[in-house]
Amino acid sequence: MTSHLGVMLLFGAAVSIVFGTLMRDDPRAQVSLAMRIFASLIVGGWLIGWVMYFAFA
Amino acid sequence: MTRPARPTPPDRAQATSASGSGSALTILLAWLVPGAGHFLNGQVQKASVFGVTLLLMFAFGLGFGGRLFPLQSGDILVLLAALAEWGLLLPRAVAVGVGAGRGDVVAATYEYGNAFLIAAGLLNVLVVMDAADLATGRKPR
Repeated sequence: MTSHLGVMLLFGAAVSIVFGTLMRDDPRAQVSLAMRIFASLIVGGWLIGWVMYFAFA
Repeated sequence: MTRPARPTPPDRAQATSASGSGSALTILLAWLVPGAGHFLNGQVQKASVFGVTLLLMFAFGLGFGGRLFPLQSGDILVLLAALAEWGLLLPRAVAVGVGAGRGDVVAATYEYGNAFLIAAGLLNVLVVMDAADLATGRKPR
């Protein structure tokens, strides 16, 4: 896989799953936290990507 | 009217001392295999999630052509990356044993592979610390 987006999704999923499982004990809370971390990572990466695109264009 | 007995706080030092050898074993096994520390503490669901996720991250890192950096003090970034990758002890040792992790620097995914390998090691350090807290009683099960 050489897609930047694909690798970012894979990395974000793995990191958010580990943090969600580590920081919460209730399964529903784990899923909720993991999804919030995943969304934050992906949206943050996407925004930083656009900022760099315009900053260095 | 009798007053209920007031609960006394646990003697943390005594509890830590009593479980010293157990927590050392937990830390060692958690460092060797991701999730093993939580398995020993009875948290099978968490153990399986950590084991599968971190081993997959490590495998993807190798598959992307990432490098298992040697412990050398010449370059501080290489040293830090190597220390992070040592967070997964047994998978790293096995990968080195079978000749994997030499790093394919011309691959488009080389840096992605390094990021996966380093992050997997660092995440396992957090998992080991959590397992140690469970084993010593600092964190309730």
